[in-house]
Amino acid sequence: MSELLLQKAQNGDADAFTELCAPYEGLVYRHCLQMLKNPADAQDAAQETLLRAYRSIGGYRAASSIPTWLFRIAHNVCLDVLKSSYYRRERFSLETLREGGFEPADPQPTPESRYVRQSEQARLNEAITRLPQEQQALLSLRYGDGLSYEALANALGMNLGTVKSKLSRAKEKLRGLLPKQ
Amino acid sequence: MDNQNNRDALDQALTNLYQTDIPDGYRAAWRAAVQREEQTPMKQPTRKHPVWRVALPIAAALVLVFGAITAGNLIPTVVTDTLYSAPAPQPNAARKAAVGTPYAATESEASGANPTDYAALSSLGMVPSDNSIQLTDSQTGEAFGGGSASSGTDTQAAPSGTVTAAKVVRTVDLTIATTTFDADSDAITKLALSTGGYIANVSVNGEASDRMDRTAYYSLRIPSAQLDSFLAGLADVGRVTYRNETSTDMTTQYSDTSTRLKTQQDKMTRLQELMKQAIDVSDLLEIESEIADTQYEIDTLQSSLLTIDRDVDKSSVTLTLQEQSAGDTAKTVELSLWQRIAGGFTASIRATGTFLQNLLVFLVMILPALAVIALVAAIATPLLRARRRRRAATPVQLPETGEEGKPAETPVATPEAPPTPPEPPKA
Repeated sequence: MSELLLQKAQNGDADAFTELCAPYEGLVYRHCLQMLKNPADAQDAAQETLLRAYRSIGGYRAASSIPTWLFRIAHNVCLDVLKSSYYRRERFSLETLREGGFEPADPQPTPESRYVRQSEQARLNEAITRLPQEQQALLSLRYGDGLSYEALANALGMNLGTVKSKLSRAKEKLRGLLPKQ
Repeated sequence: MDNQNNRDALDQALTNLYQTDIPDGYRAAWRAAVQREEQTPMKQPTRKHPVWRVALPIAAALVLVFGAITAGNLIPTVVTDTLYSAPAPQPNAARKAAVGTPYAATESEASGANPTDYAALSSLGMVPSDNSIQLTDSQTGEAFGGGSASSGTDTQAAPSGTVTAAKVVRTVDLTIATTTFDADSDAITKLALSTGGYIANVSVNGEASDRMDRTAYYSLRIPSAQLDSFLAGLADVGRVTYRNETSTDMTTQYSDTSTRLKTQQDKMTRLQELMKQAIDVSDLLEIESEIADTQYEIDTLQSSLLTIDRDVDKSSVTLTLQEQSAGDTAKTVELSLWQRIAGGFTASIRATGTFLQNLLVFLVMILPALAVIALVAAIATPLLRARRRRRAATPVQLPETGEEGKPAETPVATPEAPPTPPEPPKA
């Protein structure tokens, strides 16, 4: 993380902020999608997350790394969305549409394989949400963005050994949280 | 091997799970939103009600503490002072004691000729119930040499002026600190009465409370023969913090007064003889006047002798009983370290218990106010929610202000993507 970029972003430079946070836009979006289960809502929430981050980056004190900080904002935004009556009403409308016969297109070939995949992912998703936010961010950056250990260490402000250790512990914990097959 | 397979399977599952296409619209939209946001003045980062976050718990704590203290001061912990309790309604003194007013009986009351007051004092335990104090007319009355009932250490001075024993008046001044005020007050009273003495005066300042700051002032008359045993008995009562004993030899004064009394009595005898012999009216009047003056002088001298006899017979003990909290005991340097530690610990436990009791009282006290607040909240909350719902129903726009963790009631509409979105850097 460049201190200069951060300083510029804290002074209101949108380009610097974009450069600083762009590597983590996928992290933000994936977490929003994971929580909201709807691409459109996730997109809105992710955008709101980054907008909030831009507004409040002046108060960022580097107590946590940028991705962890963004992850936390995204989490709060999604919680707000889930709590909002607007969201509940929209979800209800979608349900109403489905009851009316609407079914979004699904790339899965067969209902069985779709069911298996969905249920596995749901279990994994559920287990991930029970991890600490830092570990969730770590997994998302590692497996979603494909960051190397070095890149992760750089992004999170940790040394390489710590990143490996944390990632290993995150997966170990995840294994423990997954229901036994 | 299995572990390796499990790890690989988990890695694969995670890869699949996180394998999500990031919409280009999103990439472009948040950049555009940030660019637009840059056009508006950058708001200084503001903490979310930092003053409230700090002040609210402090204010709540202060309310509880002061409320508890106030409750402790407002709510009486005792109703009556049981130091003296009259068994039945009695005039004056008993009535005062029954309402808990510190009673102060003067010596003149105790030794006066009012039998009703004396009975009241006796019922209060301030004087011996067996009337061992002789308060008869013969003692306060006419003749001095008629055989006093006093049982003092002296041999009664004869009118001839010869004093056969020393007239020594002993006075003792004591201050006793106690943590068990009521018990020690009773002990002092019983001890004084057991010696045949009486309480000439007692007054109690303060009332029983957790402050433990009562003070009782005793003026005791103890038979001189029993004074030492009385003082020895006080060793079991509290802790003597001050003691002053004075002995005044009144022998010479007593002898002089006796001589003058004898002179005046002789003079009276002569005047009475002259009175018998007088014929002239003017002589009679003059002698009568002289007899009256002489009688007055005799009465005064007899009173002085009687006072000395009484002082010699019964020593005066002035005793101050100071109630002392265990905390004060802890400050007392004369005590041992262990006693001070124990006293301080006891005081702390007692104070904590008292505070918790007062806190409980306060919480119960404010229940009506809390009920009113709950009622207002019950009315206001649905109204506020309805207002929020109405605002949420309005067309969705990006909020003007937003901070981390601040609730956003409405999802944000996706702004239009710019024509050429920049490619985000990929690590």
